[in-house]
Amino acid sequence: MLFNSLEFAIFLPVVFFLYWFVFDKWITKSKNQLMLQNAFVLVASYVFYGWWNWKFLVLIAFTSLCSYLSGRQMATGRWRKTALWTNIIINIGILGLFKYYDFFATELAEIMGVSGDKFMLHLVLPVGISFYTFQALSYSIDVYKGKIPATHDIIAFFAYISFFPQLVAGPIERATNLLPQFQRKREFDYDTAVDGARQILWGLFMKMVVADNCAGYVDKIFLDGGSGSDHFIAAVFFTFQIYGDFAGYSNIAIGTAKLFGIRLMQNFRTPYFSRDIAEFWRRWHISLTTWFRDYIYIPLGGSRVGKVKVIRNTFIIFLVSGLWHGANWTFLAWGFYHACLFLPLILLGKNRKYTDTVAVNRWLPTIKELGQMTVTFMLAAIGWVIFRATGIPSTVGYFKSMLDLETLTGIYKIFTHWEMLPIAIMLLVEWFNRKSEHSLQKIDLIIRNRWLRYILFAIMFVAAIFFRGNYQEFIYFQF
Amino acid sequence: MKRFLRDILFTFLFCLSLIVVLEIAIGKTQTSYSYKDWYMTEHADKIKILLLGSSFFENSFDPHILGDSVFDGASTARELWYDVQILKKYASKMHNLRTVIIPLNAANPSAGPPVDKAARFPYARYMGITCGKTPLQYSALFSERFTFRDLIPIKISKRVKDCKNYNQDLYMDSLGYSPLYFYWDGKGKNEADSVTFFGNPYPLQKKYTDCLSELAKYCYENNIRLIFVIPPCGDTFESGKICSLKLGLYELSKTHHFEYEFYHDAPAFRADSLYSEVLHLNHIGATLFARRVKEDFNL
Repeated sequence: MLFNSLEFAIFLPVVFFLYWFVFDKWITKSKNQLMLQNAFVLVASYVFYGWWNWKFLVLIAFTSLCSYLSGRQMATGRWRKTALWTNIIINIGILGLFKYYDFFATELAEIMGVSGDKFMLHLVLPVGISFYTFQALSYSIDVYKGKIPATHDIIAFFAYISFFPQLVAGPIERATNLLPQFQRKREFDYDTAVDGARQILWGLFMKMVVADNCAGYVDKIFLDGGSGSDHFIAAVFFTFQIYGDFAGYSNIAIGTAKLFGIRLMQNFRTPYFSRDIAEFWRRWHISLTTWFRDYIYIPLGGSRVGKVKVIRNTFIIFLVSGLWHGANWTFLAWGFYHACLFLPLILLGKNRKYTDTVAVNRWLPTIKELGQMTVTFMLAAIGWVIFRATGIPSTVGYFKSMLDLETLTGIYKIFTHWEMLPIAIMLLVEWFNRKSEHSLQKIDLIIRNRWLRYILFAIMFVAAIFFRGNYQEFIYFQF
Repeated sequence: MKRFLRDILFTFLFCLSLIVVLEIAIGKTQTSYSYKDWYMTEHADKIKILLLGSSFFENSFDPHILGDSVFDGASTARELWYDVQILKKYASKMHNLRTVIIPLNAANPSAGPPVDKAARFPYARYMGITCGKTPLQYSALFSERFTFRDLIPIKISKRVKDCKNYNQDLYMDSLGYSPLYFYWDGKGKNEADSVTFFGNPYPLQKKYTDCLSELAKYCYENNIRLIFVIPPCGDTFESGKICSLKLGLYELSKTHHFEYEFYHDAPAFRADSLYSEVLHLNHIGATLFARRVKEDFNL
């Protein structure tokens, strides 16, 4: 079920009520209170996930079991490496089978000059497989490295892997952060819950009003084409669509987890206010980029090796990141493109030039900062065109369409699209809250009157429903 | 926890109040559907010629050519099933109604009742026409009474002006001067039930022929002249469907009273300059077509 669906609107309060009133208050005297509460989270998460297709549950249960058993084996001290690599191979194997087999089988068949249909398995890609697989792998690797002890609590572990807010589209949680939260009692905290509710609301706004409204125009231009300026506008809109969609989802996921006393990691930190590409990658899909950094880039030597290896490591990371998104040459091209942008910064040692928030302690950016943000935004937008296109030829065609004088003369038309209004609102609100975890976190400081805040939240919620775009599934569900 | 639940409750109450206010306000705002409902109710006696059907009459036919007593009650993407319901609902009040003209879509001769909620919504909301009579559909009607319940996005463009020349405005509106209206993307479902004429691979759906029969029967019983026209359209349709339509109308005309004419390949409408896109005439083509229909049927 989707976060912006009626089913979830019913599911969440029911689960919330049972979680805090039944499995917390009423069973306090039970020795197994924590276990029962975790079991309930597990059941609720499986109901949530099984809503798409109950067959997916078999796979996630199997992945969870493999990782759990590998941890238990490693805890014995024997065959630790074997246990680790067995788990990695099984999980990556499953991921590869469901996600990449058909693509590579077709490509190989085409090279051999035969029909690819015979070799395809036509497997349905389970929702969220890339996310929970990486989450399971992070546990095994952290146990192997001694960062976290292997857990014997199978219920807590299964709940950690399948925790419904972040199950299908992240954030990809580390065992060191999330698993201990399932191993200790959760206390209801008013401030955290209120913050969570506000974060959900902001996420709904980003997804339903910004992302879904941009989607219509984007789909139209990518499908039917248009003038040069149409292509440019669609590229900009898609840049905001993917951000509103994914960051919106992450906000809803993190906010939902807060309602249950669970803290997930921040996944986006206003990436479109980045001053260079390196900063962009520290602010976009943080859980995935840090996963690749910690489990692939650093073990390969990171940037503490010779220049040739740095180049190699950078390309590996970005290409793998592209491939993680899906089985298509466009994703690899997107990764390659970003590697080319990132490489000069890392070779010159300038990849950590901007680690603070832009225009900190100032209302407005300087002209230089504005220019930097604009350039970084446009570079990201170019990447998103590659990401969105259906193939390399259509990507080339898309860019060719933009190489037209009409693109410059018609660029003003972007302001005639009413989609710019929610985009502008989102950018403004995010700008003035760029130091916060989410844009409604410090609303108490701006609107001190409680009743006015209720009215504002009601307006935002109703606006999200009345002004939402046409129904769109979350983009990152396909990964 | 109590404080949190209290906050949620108050926010929820504010949301509910806002939704109710918006529902009432939106429900009262004029749309092209409520406009037609109003005109066909309040000015029923003025109507002597009633145009129904889909975009072929809403966009591609100039009603003024037929005089002042004509009303264009067509709506884009309307299934024939709704034409039957609208005629039955409103025609009884039109004491001076003499002629009904309906365009038949040669590109896609299909009929409802539509199962898609989004397609049903404006008819239920503004014209009180439900889809079928099953208990589930009646309950769906109840839910469709509320804009919010259907979670339909609203794109607000321009308000419909209060004007004296109703047809003129609606006609101009249909050319792209958008009135306040609701739109959505419904996904229709074609019924598999159909009858085959002479083994044609594109048989007319039984529901479609039933709708045609019902229209013919109603008009005959109420002494109304019924005219079906197959409007000029681009040659993107499959000829098999035209064939089915011709055969179907021919068969029906043996047992029912109506008139019909095919203009889909009329030489007068071949020029590309008469079309705004592949299927629909532009305003020049619309005027020519209306004149042609007026001449051919002596209206």
